[in-house]
Amino acid sequence: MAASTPATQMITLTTNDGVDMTIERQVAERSILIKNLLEDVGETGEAIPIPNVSEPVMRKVIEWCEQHKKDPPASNDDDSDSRKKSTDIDEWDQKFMQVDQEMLFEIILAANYLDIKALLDVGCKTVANMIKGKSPEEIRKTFNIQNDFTPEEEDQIRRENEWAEE
Amino acid sequence: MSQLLGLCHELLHNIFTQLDPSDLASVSRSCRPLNRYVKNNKLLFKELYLQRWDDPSPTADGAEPDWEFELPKLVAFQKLLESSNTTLSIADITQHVTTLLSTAATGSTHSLNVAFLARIFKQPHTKYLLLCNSSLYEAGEVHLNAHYQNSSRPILSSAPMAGRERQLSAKLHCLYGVPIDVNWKVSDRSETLDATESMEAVTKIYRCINPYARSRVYDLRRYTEQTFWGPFVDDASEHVDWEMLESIMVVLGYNLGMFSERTRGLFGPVWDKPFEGAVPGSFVPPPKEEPFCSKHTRHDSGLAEVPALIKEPSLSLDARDPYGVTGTWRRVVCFLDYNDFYRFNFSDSRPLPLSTSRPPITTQEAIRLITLKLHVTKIEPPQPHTPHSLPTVHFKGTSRSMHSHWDPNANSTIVGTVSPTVEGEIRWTTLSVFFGEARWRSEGIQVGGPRSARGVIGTWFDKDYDEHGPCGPTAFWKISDDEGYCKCPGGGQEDGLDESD
Repeated sequence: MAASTPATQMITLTTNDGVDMTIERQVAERSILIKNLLEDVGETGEAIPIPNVSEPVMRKVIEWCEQHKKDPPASNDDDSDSRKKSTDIDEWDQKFMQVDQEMLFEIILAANYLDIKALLDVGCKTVANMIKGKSPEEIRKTFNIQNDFTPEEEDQIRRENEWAEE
Repeated sequence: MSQLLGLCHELLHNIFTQLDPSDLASVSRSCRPLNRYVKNNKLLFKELYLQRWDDPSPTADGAEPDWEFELPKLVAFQKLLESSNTTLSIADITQHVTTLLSTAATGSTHSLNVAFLARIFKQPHTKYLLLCNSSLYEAGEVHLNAHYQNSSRPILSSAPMAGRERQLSAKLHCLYGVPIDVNWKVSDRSETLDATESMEAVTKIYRCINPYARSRVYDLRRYTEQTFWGPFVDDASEHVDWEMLESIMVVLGYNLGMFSERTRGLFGPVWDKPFEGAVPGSFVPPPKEEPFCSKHTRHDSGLAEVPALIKEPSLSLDARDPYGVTGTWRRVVCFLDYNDFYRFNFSDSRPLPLSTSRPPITTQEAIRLITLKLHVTKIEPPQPHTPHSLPTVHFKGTSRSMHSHWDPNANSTIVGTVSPTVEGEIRWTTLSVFFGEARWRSEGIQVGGPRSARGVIGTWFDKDYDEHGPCGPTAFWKISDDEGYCKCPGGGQEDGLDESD
């Protein structure tokens, strides 16, 4: 019976800092970029270079892919319906995203590059949650942003945005 | 350097479309790069708008909506109503509500606008102060604002509303569509509403409003040439008298609710979902019924013999009819026992000025449910020089009691017209003909506009405008585009709806 199911297929990725990582093909294929690459190139057995992602970030991404390897594939209809329930993030993902801000943005960039839509969404929602309900000053503090407005500009922009005030 | 600012525009879009619209204001106030990104960002504003409200495009002039104007406008509206410490005028509120309803999604899609309005008007301070401020509620000795004077959150100026504002409050209530028969606190109770006291607790103590609504609806002084004996202002202007319409809705809603209870679900509840059906074009026909039984029904009734020939040309008439007349409609008619009606109207020793209300009527009325089967017979092109380019549609059909075959007042031929008023409201006039002789007329307004699911609400009265009456409230709403449709909403047969009491 087990004869017909092939042994778990492994593939190797090389991160931009030169580290080889061997993982299950099913896990790697959460990334549409890698999935398409494997389909196009076929099974050469050679390591796949990932020039935009470093080893520590790749480890986090793979951890997420492992957890979500059985999820149904992302649907193509990217309509607003699926995004409406914006800020609910499942518990495991919330814990997963408890990283420093640098890592959070690295994960977002990696998910974007590797084309892992669900991970990208979780990352963006996490950032959105860090913005929600905050004042401009709190946003600056959170994201280390300089206030580069002149006092006159600041005044004018405040007036332009009065509609949002309680 | 902030990593947030280093993100490409596509990723910023992904993040910012997860925000609440008001967060966008804080973001654009944080620094120049983000201000530049948010400002004039049509796509961002559009996506945030469409997450919350129905797509209003195409606008009347066919242009793309100005999303950066529309989104802040609705957010500000929502915030003002929710915060409730404002003096937003009821005229502005009505304007927002009617715009949201006229651009609401129809068909199988669930309307975001309707859900939004229902949510906003669920809050007691909004609901009661905006929807229960017409002269009806004043007649019921209900002084809402007075109870809020000591409360921390008055929403409107606490002065009683003026005539025009009361009309708007009644109009909002009609659009809301779930009759609020609250037992509001009456004025002879001196204590004021404790802000912490729940609305539910308050409503249990006090008086019902429907006897006051009944007193208005059956008051013959309101049936004049100037009102066309219908729900119109008493000045021959053909402007809708929303306060009259509101009272009719309250009376019918009360009676339909009682009837629904007594028939134990055979006749399902109506008018129970806020703002549902108050949208132009919101009527959606039920799934097709297979046994097409129009012929059967017509034979059976033995009344109006509509020749089969009429079917053919009516196809093109239906296609040109903007009101969707052809089909099966459910009608409700209520009336007072004529002795009660007469005593109520003609017991004054001296003529009572209209400014003095007649006493509340606590007597129960009778209710009849009727099935109308209508089809278009003629369409007249819009009158020249009228602001609304809608035609006058003539129709004919049958009116049949859902209670018993022998009820002589319900089985008749019915003819009528649908046309726009000067304000662009949809006015229905009907005439019931019994064995060749006209007997009753009705005048009504289709709440929500043409083809709304809510239906037509108005008055019925003698065809010769007999100054001795009788008269009363009526309403009808469409249940099928098919004239042969023969199921009642509870799934049972349409005959034999007699009450068990």
